[in-house]
Amino acid sequence: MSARKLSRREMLKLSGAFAASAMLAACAQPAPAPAPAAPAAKAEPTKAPEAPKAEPTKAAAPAAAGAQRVELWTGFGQGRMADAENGAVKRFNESQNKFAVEHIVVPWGDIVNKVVAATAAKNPPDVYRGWAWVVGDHAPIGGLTDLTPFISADATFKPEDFWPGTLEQMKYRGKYYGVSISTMVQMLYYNKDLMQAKGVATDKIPDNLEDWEAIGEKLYEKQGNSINRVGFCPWIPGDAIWMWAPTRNVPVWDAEQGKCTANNDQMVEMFNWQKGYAKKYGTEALQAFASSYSGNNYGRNTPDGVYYTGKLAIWALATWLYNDMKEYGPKVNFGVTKVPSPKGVKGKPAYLQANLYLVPTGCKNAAGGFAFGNFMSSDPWVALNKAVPDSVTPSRKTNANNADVEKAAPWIPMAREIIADAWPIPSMPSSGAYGRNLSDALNRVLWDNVDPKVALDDAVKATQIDVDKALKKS
Amino acid sequence: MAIGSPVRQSSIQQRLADALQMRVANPRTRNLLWGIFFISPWILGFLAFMVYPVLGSLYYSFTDFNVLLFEADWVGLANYREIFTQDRLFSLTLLNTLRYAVMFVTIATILDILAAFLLSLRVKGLSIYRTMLFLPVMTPAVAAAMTWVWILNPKHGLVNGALALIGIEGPPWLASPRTALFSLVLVAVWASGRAVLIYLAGIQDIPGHLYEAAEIDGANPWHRMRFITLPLLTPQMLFNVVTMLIGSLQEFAGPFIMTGGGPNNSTLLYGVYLYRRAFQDLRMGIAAAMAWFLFLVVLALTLIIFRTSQRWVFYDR
Repeated sequence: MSARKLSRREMLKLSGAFAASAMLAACAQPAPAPAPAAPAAKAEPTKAPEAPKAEPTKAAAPAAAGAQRVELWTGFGQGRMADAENGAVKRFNESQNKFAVEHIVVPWGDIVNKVVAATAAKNPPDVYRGWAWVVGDHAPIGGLTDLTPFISADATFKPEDFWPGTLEQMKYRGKYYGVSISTMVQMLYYNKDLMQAKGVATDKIPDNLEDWEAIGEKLYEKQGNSINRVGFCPWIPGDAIWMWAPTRNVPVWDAEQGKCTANNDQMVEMFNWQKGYAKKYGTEALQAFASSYSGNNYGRNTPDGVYYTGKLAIWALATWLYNDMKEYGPKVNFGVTKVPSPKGVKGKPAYLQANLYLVPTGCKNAAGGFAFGNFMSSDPWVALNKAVPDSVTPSRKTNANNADVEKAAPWIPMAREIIADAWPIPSMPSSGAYGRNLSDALNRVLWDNVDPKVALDDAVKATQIDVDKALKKS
Repeated sequence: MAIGSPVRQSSIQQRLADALQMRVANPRTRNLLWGIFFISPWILGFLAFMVYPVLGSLYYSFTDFNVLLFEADWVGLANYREIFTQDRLFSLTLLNTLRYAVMFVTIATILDILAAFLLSLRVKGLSIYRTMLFLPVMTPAVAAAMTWVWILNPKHGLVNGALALIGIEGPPWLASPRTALFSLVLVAVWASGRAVLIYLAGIQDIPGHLYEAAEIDGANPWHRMRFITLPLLTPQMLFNVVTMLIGSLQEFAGPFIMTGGGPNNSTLLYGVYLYRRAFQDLRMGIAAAMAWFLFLVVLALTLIIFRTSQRWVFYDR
């Protein structure tokens, strides 16, 4: 073989040719997955061409060769939830031979944005783990596959088995866009040791907001202008809007008219109530406390978190904290109860947010995506090994009432009671923007002394523009 | 014969050359075509990743663009009308960003020139000081932002901890609308070491005989700074002010990571709000219109600076 050296010109020519071929190759369509579902129609959400038949469960059978690949995205990358998710994937793959799920970990903070980008690029995952608000944001503008045909064809799918609020969040305008695995509701947590230290009895706890606030006031600890311990504050650590609106039955959305309605007297009253805390303890002092401790979700996964070190005495937060309390603050003597309403108001005990498996528009295997989501939602093993570690309630009543689940999750009876009567955040367009705009309105009231009605009118007006745009497209 | 062997390469090259030879008789044109062929990967990259997005965003700014389905409905100037007349946060973020840019460019310019002047003095350990000033530039923006969140923590931060040692109750920094924007400016100034190096190079480039002549004429250090150093640094100032201004008007990582735009939208800068409208609210048409308006603002301010630079920038020595 000749050992002739390449000239500079030859080298450049070959490099140019190589780079051009590499670019062409990169731009080429990837090879289709074996036997994919029919591609989505361009202008509307993917319609399932053919509903899948229920597959008989084959215990411990490996995913058969030639099974259709199903790409799953979740943020469960480490710890007990990753083990549970990977265990569930393995179980699903072994239970049937039509689909083989491949789990890809995407950070939670990026997952929706990455799905948006991938959907725009016509290369989304077949299924991903998201939240109820995604249905409201993405379904009206065609970002999610309509799962109704799959559900209609599945004789094992019983809508009445889901909690009513959860079922509502799986749908947009009567069509299903997600299958829920678990449901989050809120509880009021209280530190019994701190209460007892101030002479407050913990064997008989209050059932109204005002009495809890009175206890919270006793438990504040200040040093000059600085707050060392928060007794109770409506917006620490949780969401100031959705957390408290249901306890006062504040209407926020008229589904029939497609109108945002949060600029009402009840919401004004709620804003004024929260403004009372700003006046009493100082907006800046409360914000300094929140900023100092809010890193990593108020230290949720570390023994130094505010919940475990007595920096917070009474707070409202989702059930997911329950198991963290046991793990990171085993010595904390805490109790839980329903989030209270003001005296004389028979409000809802919490807001409800469903965790869902969603199938994006334009995915290659919508049938496989639905099959996996449905499996995750229904399988009792998954309910026990996944929902319980994260202390969220299974979305199907049969799983939530399962004796093994109840034995492993002592908070389940209270959560069931709360869920049955909880207020689902409406499945409406731009629900994420709505929440942000309402929070902005509250901040204007707290920091700038803006009249609550004016701030709410602005928030509703801003949201309505986005809502109208989305409704026009749906 | 193996693909890629010299014989094979020679054959491909020969065929390409023959094809070109046959079709293009003029050697200058042929050379030009070869040249274009050589740089074609970069031209393609430029077209795909610069020209297309820029022109695409201009088009989408006149549409109601559904990014999920990649569908754009022509709406004319409606997006521009909406941001100017119906979006309260648009004007707020524009004002926040202009305030941020003015504070940052002013403070950074003064401190960077001062730092460069100090570095130009012949003192021991100069390379160490120079490295210290440039290290923040090398630090990834996300890592730096996360670190500063801790440093400026109102209760446990290093800054307030140090102030407490001398009996001063530190400000809430990022936790108050009064101080949050200024805190972001401080962090950005900390990372502006690149400008220091440019000023330093400028100072070192000033001919020594000018200082000698001034000294003979009785100029004190302040006079030398005022009438020699600063005027002869104005070309570097022009470059740094323009690049800093453009960068600060587009600032994103700092406020996005450190404050998320809070408290009370006091650090909601234009870039963060644009991101929110594009990727959280999925209003891509609006976001594209915002991006083009920002481009016009940047262009106008840059042109103003260039126009006025004839009065304050001295190139002749």
